[in-house]
Amino acid sequence: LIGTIGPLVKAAKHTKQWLPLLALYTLGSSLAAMLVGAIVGLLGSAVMKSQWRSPALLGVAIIGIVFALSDFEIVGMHTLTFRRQTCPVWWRDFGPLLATALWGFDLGLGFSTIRVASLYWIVLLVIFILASPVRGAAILAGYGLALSLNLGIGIIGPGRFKDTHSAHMQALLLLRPLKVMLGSVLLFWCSMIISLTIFFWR
Amino acid sequence: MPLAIKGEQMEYIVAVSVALLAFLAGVAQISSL
Repeated sequence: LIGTIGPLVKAAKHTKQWLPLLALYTLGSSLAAMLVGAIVGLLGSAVMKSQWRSPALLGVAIIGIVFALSDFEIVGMHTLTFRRQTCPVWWRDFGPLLATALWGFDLGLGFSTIRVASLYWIVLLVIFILASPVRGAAILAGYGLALSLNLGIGIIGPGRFKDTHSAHMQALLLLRPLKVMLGSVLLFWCSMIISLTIFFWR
Repeated sequence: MPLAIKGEQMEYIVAVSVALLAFLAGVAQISSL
């Protein structure tokens, strides 16, 4: 994933065409994320019964703890992820505009490319439990918009990284603390949900 | 129990907190470095 959409960041930085590119990327990522959220919510509404919600939430929180530990890479566990990256040749094959929208869509799907940490999987499970396509779409719209924010920072950021190699090195250095930080957030969230479910939900 | 959370309040807490998790997952996904 890292550096795969480098041509987009570079083009947006240097051609001053960042606004249409960012808009297309946002459109792609938000659309895909909302689609996934709506489908998962729809599946949940077909399967979940309201009386299952409390035990299911407790179950997801427990799974979340295991996933958080896998982000910490404890006892040989690893973050659940596909190893696929988005396709770098789309830029050459389809041109900047379509490639940007396609990259946005591909990354917005969330499950189709490498995941840095497990948060996303827990979000999907919770959307399934909440069992509402509208809520699912709204929740994952935030994910799609955050991907755009990520790209925006890449475009208007200080541009410290002069080439792909230094960007890769920086990303590798960031990866471990990022995983630990996201795993800790997940652990905190799971503890909060377990406490609320057991002690206060009446 | 003096403090109790009703079903709809719990759903609201879960939905808002998980939306924050989703946003964080997106921001932290290194793709444009």
